[in-house]
Amino acid sequence: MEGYTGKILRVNLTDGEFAVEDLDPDLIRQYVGGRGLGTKILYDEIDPAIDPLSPENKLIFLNGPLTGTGAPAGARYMVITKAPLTNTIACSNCGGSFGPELKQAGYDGIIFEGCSEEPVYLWIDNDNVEIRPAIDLWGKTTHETDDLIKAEIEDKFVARDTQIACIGPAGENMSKLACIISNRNRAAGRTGVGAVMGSKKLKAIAVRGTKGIKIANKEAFKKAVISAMDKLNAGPVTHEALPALGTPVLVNIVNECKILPTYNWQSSSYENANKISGETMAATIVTKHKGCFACSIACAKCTKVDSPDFKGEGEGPEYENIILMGSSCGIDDLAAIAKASYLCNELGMDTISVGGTIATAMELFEKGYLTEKDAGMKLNFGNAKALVAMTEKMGRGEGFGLVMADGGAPLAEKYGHPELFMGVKKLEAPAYDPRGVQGMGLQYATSNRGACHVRGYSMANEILGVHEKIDPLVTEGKAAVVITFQNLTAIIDSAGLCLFVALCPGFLYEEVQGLLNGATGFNYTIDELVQAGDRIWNLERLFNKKAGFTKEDDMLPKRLLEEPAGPNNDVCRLNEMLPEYYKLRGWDNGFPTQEKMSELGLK
Amino acid sequence: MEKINIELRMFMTFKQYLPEGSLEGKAKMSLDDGATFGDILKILSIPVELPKIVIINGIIQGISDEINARILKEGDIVSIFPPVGGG
Repeated sequence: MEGYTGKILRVNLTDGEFAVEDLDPDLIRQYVGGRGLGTKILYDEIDPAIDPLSPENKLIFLNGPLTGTGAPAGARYMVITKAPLTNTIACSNCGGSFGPELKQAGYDGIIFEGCSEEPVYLWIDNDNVEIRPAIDLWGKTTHETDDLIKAEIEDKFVARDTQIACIGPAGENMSKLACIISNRNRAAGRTGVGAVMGSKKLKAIAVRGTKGIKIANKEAFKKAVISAMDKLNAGPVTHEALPALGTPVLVNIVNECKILPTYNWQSSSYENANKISGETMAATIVTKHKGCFACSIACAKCTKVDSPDFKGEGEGPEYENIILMGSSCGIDDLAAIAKASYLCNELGMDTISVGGTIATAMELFEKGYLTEKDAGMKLNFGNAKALVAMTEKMGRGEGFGLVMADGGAPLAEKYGHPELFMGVKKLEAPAYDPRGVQGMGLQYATSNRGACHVRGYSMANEILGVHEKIDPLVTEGKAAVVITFQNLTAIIDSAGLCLFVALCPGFLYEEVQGLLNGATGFNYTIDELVQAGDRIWNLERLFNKKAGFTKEDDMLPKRLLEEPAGPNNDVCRLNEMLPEYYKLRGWDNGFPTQEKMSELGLK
Repeated sequence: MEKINIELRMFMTFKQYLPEGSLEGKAKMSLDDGATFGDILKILSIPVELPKIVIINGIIQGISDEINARILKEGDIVSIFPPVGGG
């Protein structure tokens, strides 16, 4: 098998045993890999109704066929499990070098089952696999864990090449906002996948591989890589904007379009946006640019903050969390936002959800529903020191941080105002206000893992005009646009590519097809890939149905539906888009019909 | 001739075209009544063919050819970006 290794490592943490299994080529072809294949494995192997933090849940790390092959932006691995934060299917996606190294060691992925009694970590050096004690690592930050595991390795060259994915204290405490960190600052961020790792007492996976990766048709693959690189190098976003400023390039444009979440979404533009913009970040705290494995975009920004209150060093912040921790908390201090981001990476939490939860807490506080006595500090909008202090308490599970560490939905519920939680299916929404970009509202409502921007980034056309410029303020035609982006994203994720390739004009199915066929020799047609994307989306939906979700869960926060904001002073008109979305999807009552399932070969 | 006043906001590479003395990427401009977006490009010597995203009063505008003929009015806020993106 080419592109893939064809092998998956299955580790039972309850009895400490593991086995190497062959992957079924037919199944791979239907689900491509990564997100698609992982969802199929999880759907077949667990009951979607289980408690995500019970030993019955499984935790799957899976590469795509392009991961590590040298395909541009082909660095992604995915973590598939049942999500503790949302109770939906989870697939959190991460770059860096961990996925490529795992493939070099001879595995497409790892399935973790059961639960260890004591903390452990998994060591993989090609065929040598060991479950090692991690009692000394328990309680350590992600950076300390990375350092300590590498320090144990005698051969300095092996230590240098070893790639580590781990959890911090937040994952150990089973915070529902916990993520999995690899390469110190790259995160499989959303929906609480780090808590599943913590529930299994699995602190880390350390991998080193030297086996090489087989490519089916080297000439065809080389051609496809050159074509993809030419596109990425000609794309203004992938060649100029992202390399220069990273994702924070969006701050100013989103603010000018009046769709920037501010004061927990009470407003959609921020008077001090320029203070937290990509341009300000580049001029003040960025020290160097960094890219994931085989990526020419190099969107990551290494940063350093010298101000005494928020001293630190790391990567980021990124656009989404600049907004959730910044304007949505009424905070214009970039140093504080960077510090809170560093803490999230070190303690192992999702920056978007942490920011969203603190913004909810701040509105509860401002309105008098949450007191200083409850929170242990003043949580007023604009309080930069409180942002940093509360982030640390959440990550360490201390004081009121323990209450907040399970996210904004339970917090708002506990204090009697669930309407102040700004998210869908308990996932805190990312940083685009759908009252001024209607398609994103439909996307948040229908995404299988809750309010999410990286499951169908219709922003690319609605605001950025990447492939085609369309009007963000209308609802007509948005159902079809959202479905197109959702299905395409399912294929990009499953292939192991970074979603940012789709921010390059013309980087659509044809480019992915060329790369996939060169690497795997599968000779996929475009129709087959479009259908595979549809299949993956529908299977995720079926997982959620079995987990107990109904179409009533495809709902936005009341504020976005009833309180006008944005350039047209409008609400998100979800009811004008959702019925058409279901119809175009071939769904009845929010779920695939029998006919649709048969068409996709789903049971 | 009657004059109208607008606010111009330029970002990233477009900042270089701002009138001298502009602060934080912003400038107030006084234009003849009936002036178009294309007139701003002419006054500031911005090449018409430069790819750009144009936002007027928070509303994102269509492709360049159409936008050039757009007549501006008193109090308009005009924001110009190079192509950007990616969250």
